Amino acid sequence: MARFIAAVLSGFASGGIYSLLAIAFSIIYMTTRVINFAQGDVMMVAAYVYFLAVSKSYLGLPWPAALLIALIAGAIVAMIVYIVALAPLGKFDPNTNIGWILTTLAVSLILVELARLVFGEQQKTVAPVIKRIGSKKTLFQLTPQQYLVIVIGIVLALILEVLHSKTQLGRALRATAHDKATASLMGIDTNFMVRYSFLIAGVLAGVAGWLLAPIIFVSSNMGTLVGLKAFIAAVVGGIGSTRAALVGGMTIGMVEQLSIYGGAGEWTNALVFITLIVILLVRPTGLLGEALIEKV
Amino acid sequence: MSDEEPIRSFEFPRRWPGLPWQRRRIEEQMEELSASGLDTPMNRREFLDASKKMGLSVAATAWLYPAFLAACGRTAEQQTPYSGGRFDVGGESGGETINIGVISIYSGVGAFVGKLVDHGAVLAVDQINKHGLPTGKKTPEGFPDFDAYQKQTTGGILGGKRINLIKRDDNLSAQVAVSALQEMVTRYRIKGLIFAGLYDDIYACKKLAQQYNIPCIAAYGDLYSVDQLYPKTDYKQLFQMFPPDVWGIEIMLEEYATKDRGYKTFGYLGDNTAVGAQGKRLIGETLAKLGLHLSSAEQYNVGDVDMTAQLSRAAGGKPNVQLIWGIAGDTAHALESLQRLDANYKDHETALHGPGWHPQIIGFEGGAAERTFAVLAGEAARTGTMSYWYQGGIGYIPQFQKAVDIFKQHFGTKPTGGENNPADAVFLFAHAFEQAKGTDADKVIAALENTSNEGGINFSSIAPHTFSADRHISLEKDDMVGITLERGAAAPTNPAYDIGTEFKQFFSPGYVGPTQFMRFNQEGLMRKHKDLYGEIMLKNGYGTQCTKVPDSRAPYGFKLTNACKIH
Repeated sequence: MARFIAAVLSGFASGGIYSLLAIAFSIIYMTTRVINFAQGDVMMVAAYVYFLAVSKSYLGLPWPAALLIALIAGAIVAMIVYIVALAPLGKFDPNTNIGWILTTLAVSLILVELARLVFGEQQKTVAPVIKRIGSKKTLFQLTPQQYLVIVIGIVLALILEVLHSKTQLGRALRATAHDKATASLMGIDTNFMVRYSFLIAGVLAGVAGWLLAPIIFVSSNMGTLVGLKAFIAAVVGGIGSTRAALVGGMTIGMVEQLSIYGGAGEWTNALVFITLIVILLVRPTGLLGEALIEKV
Repeated sequence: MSDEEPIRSFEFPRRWPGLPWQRRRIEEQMEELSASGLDTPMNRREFLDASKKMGLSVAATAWLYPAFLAACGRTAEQQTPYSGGRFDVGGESGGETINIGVISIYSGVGAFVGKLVDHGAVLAVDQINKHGLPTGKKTPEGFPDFDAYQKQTTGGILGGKRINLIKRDDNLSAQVAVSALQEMVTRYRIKGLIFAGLYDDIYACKKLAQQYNIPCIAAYGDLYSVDQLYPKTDYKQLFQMFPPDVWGIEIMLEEYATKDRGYKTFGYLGDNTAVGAQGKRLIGETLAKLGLHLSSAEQYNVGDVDMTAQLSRAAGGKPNVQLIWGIAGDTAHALESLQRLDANYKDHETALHGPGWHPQIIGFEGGAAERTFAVLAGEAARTGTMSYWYQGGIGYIPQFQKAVDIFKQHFGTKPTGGENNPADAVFLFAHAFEQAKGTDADKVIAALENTSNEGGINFSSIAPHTFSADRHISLEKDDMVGITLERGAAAPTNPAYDIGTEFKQFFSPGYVGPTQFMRFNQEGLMRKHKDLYGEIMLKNGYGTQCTKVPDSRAPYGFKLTNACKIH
């Protein structure tokens, strides 16, 4: 039973990271209708920045200061992704003009290569923020850092949910997501909303990088598979909603960990994709997604 | 272009498809191949036409053509018996350089391997281009005379030709390695190839290497363990200097774990690549020979970070030894997971009898024998973690400090271990080119088959690599040694823990890293390297950790026992 509880908790921990990035995917999708394939790599850059800031070999700052710098870095890199990959495309219909797939993928590859050139091939280790729960180093086989991921993942998702449903800014974002042209006519600066969505996505990637750095080693390709799975999580949950991204992330995390618990460790990646296929067959819009009705 | 930075390889189109004249040149080369008698059911023209219809670039299809044949299950040998069955792109390398290809892992989770390869091979190329080949002069103790070598002023081989490395990333894909081989042969006309990446690379490329007749040395690749090395197969072009897994596993399980330590139960955790699959098979077979079996066999995906669930299941069988078969980063994550279960290794007694589950770790040499692993795992990796390597490249004895100094001058850092294989592969090729008086593949292969112990051809290794016509592996089982993880501040033990002469002398306080451990294989080492092991290592205590017990009747005034709590 203890092993099962540990597997479920591990699922929440993995799901926490996927959720954060899935929310980032969703927010950008809401305002632009594109998938930012460089999202995982924005997280990677933020993780490297956190490493540089907190490591005693470099700046040696206290972790809150290092986190702040990492979040700013995440936001800046996300904005750069927008400026480099999407802004030059101008006004376009993402359904027919699929250039954004290539540009975001290209930026992803460039970020990975740049990180490899600048930081080298050697993976980096980062100390966790919390090392003990009381007197214990682990609880149900999970480290304090993993519990931190669960808590922050859920709390941030809830905050964003409230922010987007109860505030003026959130309503503007949803209006932009619903009908960009009408939102613009109603006085909403839709271009600002797009930039805002990238900014928030960058900050979320920064948080994910900060949380993940002590769990997996910081490396140039740390964001590739995590980013891909977060994208799957966003689709599984129903892309375009914070709640759905949270549910999707937790679902993917749980599938991973329960498959390992069940003795199929080498099949986890395959099972994640099978889950995606099954859910899309049963519910094409994702677990919590709603069908978009295009007015013509 | 000397020592160019490794470039990621892609299947096709690789990079710039080439200017029209470049494409024409490749077409002309292919025309020559056709003219030389290459007559296939789908000939080159038909292949190009079909490829064009599929939208592939001319350059890419030219590179892919032989792979296409191989994929169809037809070798050029089958197609063209009268032409020797090879894609002979022929001729010398351009001008004053001889190109040697290197396929390794330069990116992703295994990028540390590429760094080792770079350090070893680049240093060897630099030394050869600067000083030529060593004359074979040795110190009175029988070691390579590095000072004399550094004073040689005639650089290059074959009358001053320079060696140039063409490096390619396998992107952790054997298919990419095949594509890289195509490119290196057709574009750079390599005269030798060093495999230093995935095991799968050499499995996937071997047929193509045979068709192109390219001499290949597996610096980090294991054909021997899967019975794919000549003379068991007809791949005469392939040579192996990498210690085969089968010997490493046999010596660690038979000589160390069961005979020396008395362990009886074994758990396995490995990755989902050829390394893991091969390790699992060989471990199972070796244990079966000993009348034992695995109490658990778990797998993970490369890059996974949490193996707690797998190890939790393994804990049910309470194995004395937990075998971990994966690369450095993954092995480090496995030990972190073990730490979460509060199951890290404490000492031999606890691993054997409890209380609790604290297995001794025996790992794959590409994982637990890497310093990268020690750095990444931190506190999770404990003193006594074991792996295997071979007697060679020992920088931690005084006789080899000059080589370490040269390395440090070049890269500003000390070698971490493992650099010697790529370096020695370059020296082996250079020596073979000299012996063959050129780069003709058949002559180079014959020269490689006649490498001798004399002549000091190896720069970094104590025990020179040698091949013969019926032995394409440069080592013997008696070359194998253990690798153990040392930490600067080990727990107090009874008898007192002694980290060995070499560590005290060369390592700074607090050193953490793997190094040779020789006690359990001393009989084999004495058989193979009596002078080196007996006179240098054993006499002075190098690599004999915590086992020296005074004994006036023994040859050097002490004997080695297994009375050690840690390893």
